[in-house]
Amino acid sequence: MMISQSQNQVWKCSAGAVAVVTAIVLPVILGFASLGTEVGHWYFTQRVMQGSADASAISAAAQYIGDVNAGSPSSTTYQTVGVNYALLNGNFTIPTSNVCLITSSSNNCAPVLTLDARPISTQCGTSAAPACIVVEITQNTATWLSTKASFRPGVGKLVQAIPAPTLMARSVVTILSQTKTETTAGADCILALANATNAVTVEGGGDLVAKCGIAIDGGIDQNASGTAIGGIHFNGSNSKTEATNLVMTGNYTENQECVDASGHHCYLWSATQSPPAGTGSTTLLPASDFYPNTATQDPYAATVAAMFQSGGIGVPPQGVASVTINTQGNGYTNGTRVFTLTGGSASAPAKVVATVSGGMVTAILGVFDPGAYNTVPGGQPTGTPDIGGGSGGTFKLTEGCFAWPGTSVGGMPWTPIAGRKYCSIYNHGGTTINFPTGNYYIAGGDSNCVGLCQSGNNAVMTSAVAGVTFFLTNGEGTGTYGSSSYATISIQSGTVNLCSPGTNCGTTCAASTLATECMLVIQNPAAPLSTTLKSINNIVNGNGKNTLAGLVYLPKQTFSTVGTSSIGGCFGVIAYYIDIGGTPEFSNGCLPGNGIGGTTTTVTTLSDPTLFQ
Amino acid sequence: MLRALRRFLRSSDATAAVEAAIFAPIFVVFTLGITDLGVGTFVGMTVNSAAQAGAAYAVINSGSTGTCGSLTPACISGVQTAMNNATGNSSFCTASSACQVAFNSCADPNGGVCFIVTANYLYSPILPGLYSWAVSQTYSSTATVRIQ
Repeated sequence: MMISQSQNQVWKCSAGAVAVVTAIVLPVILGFASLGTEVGHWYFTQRVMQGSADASAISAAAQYIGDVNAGSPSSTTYQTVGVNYALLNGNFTIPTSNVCLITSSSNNCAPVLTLDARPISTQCGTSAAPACIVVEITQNTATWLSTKASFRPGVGKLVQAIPAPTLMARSVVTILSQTKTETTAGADCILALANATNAVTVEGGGDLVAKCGIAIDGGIDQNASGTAIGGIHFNGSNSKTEATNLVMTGNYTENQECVDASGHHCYLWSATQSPPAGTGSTTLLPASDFYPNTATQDPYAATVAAMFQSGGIGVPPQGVASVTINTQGNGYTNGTRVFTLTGGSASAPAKVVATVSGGMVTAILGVFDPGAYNTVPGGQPTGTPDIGGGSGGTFKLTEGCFAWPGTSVGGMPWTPIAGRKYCSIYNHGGTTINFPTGNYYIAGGDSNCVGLCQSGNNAVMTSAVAGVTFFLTNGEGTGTYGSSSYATISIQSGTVNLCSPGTNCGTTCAASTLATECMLVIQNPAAPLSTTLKSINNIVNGNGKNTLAGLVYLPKQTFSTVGTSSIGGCFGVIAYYIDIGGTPEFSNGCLPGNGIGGTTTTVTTLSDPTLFQ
Repeated sequence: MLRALRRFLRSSDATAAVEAAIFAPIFVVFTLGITDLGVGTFVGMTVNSAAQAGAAYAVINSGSTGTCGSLTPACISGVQTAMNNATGNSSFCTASSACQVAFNSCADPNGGVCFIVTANYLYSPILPGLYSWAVSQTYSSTATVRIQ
């Protein structure tokens, strides 16, 4: 009775109810609140982990890019770096296996996939993403009381504990690769293209002085199907070369090429001993500067071939070869008149010298300037006289190359004009010709001269310091000097001092925007082949010292220097055969672009790390 | 007088209100503590995301053509804009000490060049000093990313 009474009193008494309710509810409320707080904390941790993984992966990628570009693609330093930056950004300690790399050939991300089964992009290791750095950071959530004591509805049972989830953060960084072509300048200045053991021949008494390397390509570059036998041949006991190296495609030994019964022929070029400073180097070419079985590409083949295609700089302009009177007209000033022709599509109109008598054009003395035309004037063009008026005079003209007039046309003093198509350029006797800067087109040669010629001990050819380029190409029409006839060089005597554009007549060639920079003579590669040494010859001889600055390019024919001639300056040559007499000096200072014997390599570098996933 | 006091003490009227008044402060202290914890977490997340967004901007624009190839004014300005955007607070970086960008050699022994972006934010709890987490302090987060 007492008990039940006291029980009733306890149940009935409302004093302290709030305390009781609080005592019951507070743990529940606190529990849920702290669970919510903790889940919030998971997200916070996840966020920090992701940032850390991103920073770690980017940093590891920076290390990997550096390693690959430095030539150590197998270095694993990127893993150390990844671990270090995960520690630095958020104090996450991860094993090195959590920093992994996928390339087309390797993949060490298996441990990462064990930790975190989410797939890694299949683009990793493909061309879209040649390399991927993956960083995984995992962490068990803090086992706070709330997690341990919290429950959720369970399958098959009333409640089960909420498992402490493992937080995972993965960062995938892609790295792009670039391939670029790197070229190194060549050290050679003589290149013979023929696949022949005597592609370069030094005649008896000849001294091929090359402040550069001599390269013989034969076989590999030009005749891919043939066995490479290109070599150098010494023709006589006193023949020798002084060069910095000797590169040939043939399978030779140094003794085979440079030594024969008459002794040594190959010497190392010396600044003090080699001509012009001295009388000859006494140091034999060391074996280390002898490169057999080595091809050297003609670096200008494509450029020059394009020059002679339609619209190329090597294609000569049209010009007026000859003129006759169509109608004499009237009212012209008597005497020797120079008529400038009208009409046609011209960058420079032709000029004709004619005799005017009784106000009428009575005789043509000659073409003074053939002009440079896309199309010469059609029909019967009129002309504008240099002095006075007059009208009615018309001409008939013939398109073609312009015969080199020498010193005057019809008594009018004449100087060479750049940018014109000549049949030949022929300096003979005791004349001195100074070529103004520009391009000179020699089409096919004529009965005076095969192309670019000089004869006569006192004949001199010089050029403007700004440089000239001679294009040796074919003639027109049929016959001896027609379309199958290609101009060649025949400098037999006298003195030649010619410079190409960019050389300033010095020892170097400055790069310019000119297509003809550093090119002195360019022969059309369609020219007929010199099948044996000197079978089609381009001769630079002389009784004085000739000076040439720039490249002489004769890819199908023989270049030869004869007798006791000497050539100085800054001179390189590419020819099918090269035949050396005298003491020509060559150097690689005045070659276009990267010169001869340069290498072109394709280099792959990595860069641009990008967060990917 | 004495009788009135005795009657007041004996009276059981409004006992619940009295008891609630006793427990309410305890309850409030608990809840505000949890609120402060939540706010603190939020501030921590804010500075963290600001630092990460700033570093991400610097990394993305660190190429040779980007503004962050070196620490140019445009780069700093871009980083701070990214940090403001990440926090949703356009004046987050107004104080010069709030957002710091450095571009230095990395302290890591493997070398390289690092962007170091730091975000700071002053956290003021509702109940300062009562809990260990509820202390008025500057929350700071630094992202260090090597770019070269």
